[in-house]
Amino acid sequence: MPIKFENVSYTYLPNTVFKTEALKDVNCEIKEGSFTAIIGHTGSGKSTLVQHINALLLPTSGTVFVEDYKIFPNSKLKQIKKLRSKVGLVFQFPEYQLFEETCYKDIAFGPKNFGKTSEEIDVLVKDAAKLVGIDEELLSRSPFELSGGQRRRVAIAGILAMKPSVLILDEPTAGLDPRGAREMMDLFSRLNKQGITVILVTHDMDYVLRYSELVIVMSEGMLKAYDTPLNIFKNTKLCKELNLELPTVFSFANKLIEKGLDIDLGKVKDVKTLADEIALNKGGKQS
Amino acid sequence: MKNLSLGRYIPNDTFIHRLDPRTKILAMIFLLVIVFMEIGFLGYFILGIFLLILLKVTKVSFRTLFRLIKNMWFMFLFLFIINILSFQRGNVLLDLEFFKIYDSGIYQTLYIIIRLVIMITITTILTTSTKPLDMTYGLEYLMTPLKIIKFPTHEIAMIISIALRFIPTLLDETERIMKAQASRGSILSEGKLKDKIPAIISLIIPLFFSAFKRSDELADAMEARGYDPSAKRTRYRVLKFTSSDWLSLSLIVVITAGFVYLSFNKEMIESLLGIDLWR
Ligand SMILES: Nc1ncnc2c1ncn2[C@@H]1O[C@H](COP(=O)(O)OP(=O)(O)O)[C@@H](O)[C@H]1O
Ligand SMILES: [Mg+2]
Repeated sequence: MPIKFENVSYTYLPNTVFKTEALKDVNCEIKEGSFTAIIGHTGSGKSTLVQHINALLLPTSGTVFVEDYKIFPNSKLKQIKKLRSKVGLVFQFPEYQLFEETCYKDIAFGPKNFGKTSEEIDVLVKDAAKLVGIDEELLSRSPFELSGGQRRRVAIAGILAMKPSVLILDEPTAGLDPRGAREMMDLFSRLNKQGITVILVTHDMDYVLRYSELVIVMSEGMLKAYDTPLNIFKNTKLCKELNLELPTVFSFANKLIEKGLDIDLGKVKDVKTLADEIALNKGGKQS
Repeated sequence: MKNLSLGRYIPNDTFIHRLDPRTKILAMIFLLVIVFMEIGFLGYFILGIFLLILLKVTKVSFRTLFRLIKNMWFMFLFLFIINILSFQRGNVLLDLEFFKIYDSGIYQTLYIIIRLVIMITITTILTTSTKPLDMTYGLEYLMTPLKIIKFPTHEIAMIISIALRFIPTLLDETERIMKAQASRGSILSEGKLKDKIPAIISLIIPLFFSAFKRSDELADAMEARGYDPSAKRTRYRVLKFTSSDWLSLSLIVVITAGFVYLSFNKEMIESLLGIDLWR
């Protein structure tokens, strides 16, 4: 599903002293099947931006287009409810939204709300649990008995069970151990390869470089840049201005170039690709 | 969630904001006492003008106040109907064969509505001009005499200030969970009550869960720093009475005395002015 923002502005609590202009005239288009990262400081409007895509927030002015759906300031809930099953939004710390007696029922909550039959639900729940790596025997347990990491997987399964064609993840790896985080990212990358559009809000630049095709940079409610990770991280002026941390392998590659190695920054994505580049320089083998 | 900002503390630097919280709490108590005295429409008119001046000084927008009051229209209507049905004396205003409407019913309703509006106005002035934490300090201080009867004033103040501290957090949490469940197709604002129940449960259980978790963590954090409710302690912020506090309190006492006089000498003032105050 292609997603398009057209002159979108959003103000929290308008007409009060607490009003916050969280988005200011945002324009951009996210291609179907892409892997897009959204970065920016806390409070720059990332969460506000993504909540427009499944119409949790209606723009104060402007329009958001998602496939055939048009989200504008006076959209009616009826017209957009279906949209929510197609755009799965995983909030930050989603484990806090679990509430059912068993994990099974919790994962089934979404599909049930969208009117699936119990046979369909059974397949959807089991598939989703398998995707996130939750054993079937855990499904009959209460979500409150599980560990934090497992609860997060169950919560994400609850979104995947709706079979969304767009998956939005708001800082999904925050608070996970490094291994859990990597497994999670690999899952999103696999889903993306199956054709799901993935939009990832994150502070982790290593993930941005490694997984995303395009990066949206937000700053103070404005879309500051929309480009490939390579161009964003190569843009020293932008990175300085917004205080963006460079991905570890990227700064390492930069240092190697300074020291005279011939490295193609466009090929450096993670440790393995960087090692390949170094090996090329030294006449070693590529793996 | 739009209404949540109503009546909240609004940072500003006005005369009322700068007053000591104890002054403001005492003044509020005096004003509330006045509201419950029988001071007639004239009295409410004078009180209303005084409050309008206070609103102006505190820079509370009338729109905010109006929205707060507007939310209560249903209660006003309910009162009106009950009063019309139950007050069956005085002059008949309207005679519908099966049932008569008396003027006392109308007056009674008007009085209750006026009192409610005035009470809301008074509390709004207090809450928009006083930081919640200052308010608890003020309350704790004013409750000190109760210590004689072993009333746990410090503990109560601590409970209130923790509760106040967590109200915005819980509201944010509520909004977040509502949005998260809405993303899973559960919609609170739509459908019959029967269909709403799962949506309500899906909100309440996570909310309780995180509230308990938070209170657990807070209790641990407090204990880790050696919190002991019965210990003697000093204050970081010391409340201080200034001349404007004394002035304001004197003014309020004078005004209250005036209203007491008015309510006890209604007949005399009525004959003096030649109008029927109680109407
Ligand atoms: N529910 C809300 N009510 C009022 N203001 C909000 C709310 N949510 C976010 N904001 C404000 O909007 C701005 C953007 O917030 P957000 O989109 O959450 O940023 P980010 O996700 O990039 O950290 C911030 O200034 C924040 O304080
Ligand atoms: Mg955010």
